[in-house]
Amino acid sequence: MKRFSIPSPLSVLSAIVIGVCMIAILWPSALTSGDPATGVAPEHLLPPDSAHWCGTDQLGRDVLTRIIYGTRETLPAAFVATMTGIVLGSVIGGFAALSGPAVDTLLSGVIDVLLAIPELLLALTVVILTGFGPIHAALAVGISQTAGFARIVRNLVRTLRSQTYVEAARLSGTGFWGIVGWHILPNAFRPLLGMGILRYATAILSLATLGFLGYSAPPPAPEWGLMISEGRDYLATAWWMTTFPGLALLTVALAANRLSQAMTNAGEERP
Amino acid sequence: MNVSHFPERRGLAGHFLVQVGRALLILWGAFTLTFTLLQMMPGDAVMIRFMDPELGLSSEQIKTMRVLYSGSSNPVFQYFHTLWQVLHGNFGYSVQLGVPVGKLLSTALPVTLRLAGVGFLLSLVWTLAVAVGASLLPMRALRQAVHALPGLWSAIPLYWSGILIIQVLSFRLHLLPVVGVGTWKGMLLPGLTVSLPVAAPQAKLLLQKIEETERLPFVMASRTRGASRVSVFFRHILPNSVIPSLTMAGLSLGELIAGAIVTETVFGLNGLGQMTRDAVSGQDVAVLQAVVLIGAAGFVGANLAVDLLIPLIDPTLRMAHRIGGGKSGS
Repeated sequence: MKRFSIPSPLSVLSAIVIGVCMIAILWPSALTSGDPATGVAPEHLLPPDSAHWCGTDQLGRDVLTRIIYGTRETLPAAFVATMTGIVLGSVIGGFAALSGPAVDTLLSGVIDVLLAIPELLLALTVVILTGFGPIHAALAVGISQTAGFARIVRNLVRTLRSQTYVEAARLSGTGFWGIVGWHILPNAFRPLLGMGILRYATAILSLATLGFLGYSAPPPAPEWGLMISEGRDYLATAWWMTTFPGLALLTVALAANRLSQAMTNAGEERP
Repeated sequence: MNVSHFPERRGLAGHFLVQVGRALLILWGAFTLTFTLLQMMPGDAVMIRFMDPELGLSSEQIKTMRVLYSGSSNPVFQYFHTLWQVLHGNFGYSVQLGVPVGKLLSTALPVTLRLAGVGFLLSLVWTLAVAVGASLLPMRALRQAVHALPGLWSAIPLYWSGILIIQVLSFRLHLLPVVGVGTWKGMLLPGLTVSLPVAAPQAKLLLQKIEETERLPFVMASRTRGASRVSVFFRHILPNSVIPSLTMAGLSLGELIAGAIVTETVFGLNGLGQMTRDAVSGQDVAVLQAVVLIGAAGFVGANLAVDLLIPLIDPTLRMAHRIGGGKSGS
């Protein structure tokens, strides 16, 4: 029975990446002295050098500074999105698993329909309803993730419900909420957490996609997807404007992926 | 593995009918869902377009326009009316452009389908290449590097990789033209862009399955009988591992259409993507509903096709049929 194993170097690196992002969200001025919104006009479109590690954009704003401040745009919003998906999905999935077969069939049908619609299109449907903006984009991504969570939760709860210890608890007189609170929720927590972190990585990418399409934060915001979109006009001359925000996106998404994998593996190793 | 519902008592035809029925139900659900959602629109697109004071329309005229575009104000009647129209291939009118959605589709859909087709073929190529590379390459480090590729692909933002591909292949190396929409050659770069994230999950699954198959006794047996690594891989391991990824590839068709929306923006193609972007900006409900239905139909249709193909490909199922037993290989 080993409880702690030595984490792989990649997992450590991923944890460091997420840690740096945390610092960037909470205290961006610790990482950069610049201002993400105002640029120095004569210093526009400078290639990366020792003063501007990632170059400057068309308004002379430092790209690295904008990337650092950009963590505040995407990462908390992705958290909101994933939490929305988890909460809505758990309610729908839990309800489907715990109520009668008629409700289960109906809700499973709805889940199947939602899963058949590509997530981006589902998100766009929500965006067309609610309008543009970062909060709406987060909500849209959250709703587009709901069906996936609902299916997982439904299957998880159904499996847990038929376990012998749940049966035993029921026979010894534990009530419905007692069983849910004591036996089902704690056992569903870990797989849901692993899935949640994995979906968090997807949420980051989806939110940046909405930003790229122009449905999230409006232009002065240092949103990564938006930065890539703005950099498209300078493709031939300023490669750094698109390359570095994309690299940031890729790195964070990979790190979150890796952590979710480590989490799942650790869960499997447990006796 | 999704073959557990393969015919045991029902015949193949019965099984197929059930699947078709299921697919139609899902499409009907998707229609109902989008219809309901889009009915909840606070200000509808007709208002947005015609309230513009520059047009100088009276409120009476606007009211007539609304009736013209959306049929009736009674939602139940409108639901069945729209459903009837959609069943006849009539997706209504684009409020922004004032033309039938079907007409927009007829020019946009071929572009996107071609892009999705090229992307799909390339994703199969990557998946196979990764499987072969991770199993048969000479050095362990090399095999592991190939093994890690799908994980990397799955996190690549499409629009970003599209831009990188343009920068490197077109601007730096002058290998391929960025524009040149009509030609298949012009589809190569966008297709390449779409294919990588789509290939990622199916490649991951194939690698995982190959690892499982490698440990099975019959693989050992043919190895000990002296078959070469290459021949064991192609004759035994690959055919017995490929089915789940094939299912996954079917699932990816909807994602391909969604990915095409983003990719078309990067490459300036006038397909479904452009249409969708315009629809979202202009709150053009009928157009978006058509696109959502096409996405869902792509997903459902591809699933159906895979479901039909699996019995032809899966060796365990083929064997089961030849023996005449009803045991499926799930």
